Amino acid sequence: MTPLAFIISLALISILAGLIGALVGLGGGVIIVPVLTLLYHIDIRLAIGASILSVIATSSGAAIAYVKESLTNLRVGMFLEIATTIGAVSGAYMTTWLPGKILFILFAIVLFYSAIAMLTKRKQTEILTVSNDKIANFFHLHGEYYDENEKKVIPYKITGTKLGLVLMYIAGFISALLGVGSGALKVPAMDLGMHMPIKPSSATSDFMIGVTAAASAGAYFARGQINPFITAPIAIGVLIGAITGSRLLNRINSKYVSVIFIIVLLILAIEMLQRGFTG
Amino acid sequence: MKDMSSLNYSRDKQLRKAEFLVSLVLQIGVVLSSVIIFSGLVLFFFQHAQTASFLNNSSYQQFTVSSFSYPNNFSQLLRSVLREQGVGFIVTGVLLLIITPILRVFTSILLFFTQGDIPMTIVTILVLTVLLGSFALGMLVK
Repeated sequence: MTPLAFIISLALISILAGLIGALVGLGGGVIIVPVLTLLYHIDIRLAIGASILSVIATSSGAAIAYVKESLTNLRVGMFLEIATTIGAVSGAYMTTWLPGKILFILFAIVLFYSAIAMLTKRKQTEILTVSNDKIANFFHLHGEYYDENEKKVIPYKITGTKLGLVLMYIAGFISALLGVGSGALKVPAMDLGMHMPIKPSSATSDFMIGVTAAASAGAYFARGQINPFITAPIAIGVLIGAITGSRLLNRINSKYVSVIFIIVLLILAIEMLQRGFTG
Repeated sequence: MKDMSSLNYSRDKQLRKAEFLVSLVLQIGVVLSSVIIFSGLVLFFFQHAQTASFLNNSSYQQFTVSSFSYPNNFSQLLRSVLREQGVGFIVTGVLLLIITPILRVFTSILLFFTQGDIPMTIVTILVLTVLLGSFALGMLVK
């Protein structure tokens, strides 16, 4: 394959990765790493470096549309970012200590768990009108969003902030460890853990993912793991896909977003498990 | 009751303004970085003319192997950009993309502060501190 063919094919795959990533609140990294290693035979370390950039691109690209449409809860995002960034710093330390195989298997288990949790609790996700959570009340974390399908503004109250912080620490930890956005953990943390409706949850997750990824991107850059030739088509492609995907999100029913989300979680879990056992 | 609703209204208005500003920072950063990356890529193919084809023997792997070197510190990057190398422009665009989320956090500090929201200002400053701290750590520990 010639360099030009490489750039163009990788850009097209990245558009698709960005589109799916934006729709489900995941970074493109989970798709980019397997594509680079299996399809293009690129070193895993360079794949992870490019992956973390695609995660930032997905987050920034998608957040442009979300922030405008007021789906993102900026206060909840910033509040939880304390936990994700501290998690990312400790995760970056742990990367050198734990064997890769164990990490992949652990992540597969986490993904399976998230998928099951989404499936069983999906119908019960109720929107709270009262919250006794002292932290949420102190920081005024509650919010509202305009739902295009139901054609009305839906206010919601936040609860379970302590559980949210613990889950977000783990999400940040895994993000740094594997070079992924870990939206698969961030969305359930807000949706199931804190009673935030699914649309603001995935929009806020996308908003947060970029900040978490930026925490580890500096290290990847300094180590020389961000190859510009690999990263360039991915960054541009994922941006185009992410912006397109985020414009579609508010027009698709919550149920469809959840179903797509669960399917993607299961596919990723199997993929991770396979990689964990085959090395 | 009347006071409450007007308070909510002014809060909402401020929030809309805040969201617009954050969105603007994102758009500028993202558009600028992709334009720089794209120009760098075009420049790269001009400088490596033999690679800009679908039907010859040149392989992409010469650029994707671990030994392929590129500017990965600031002085190298500056030199590469001054020599008008395509790679230097791509790396500049990539760095801008990395900085975009950090700028977003910085903008949020200003927004919460101007709103007189001290608890959220402290929260956001804490996030920026952890973020910059981890950056420094990444540069120190390779």
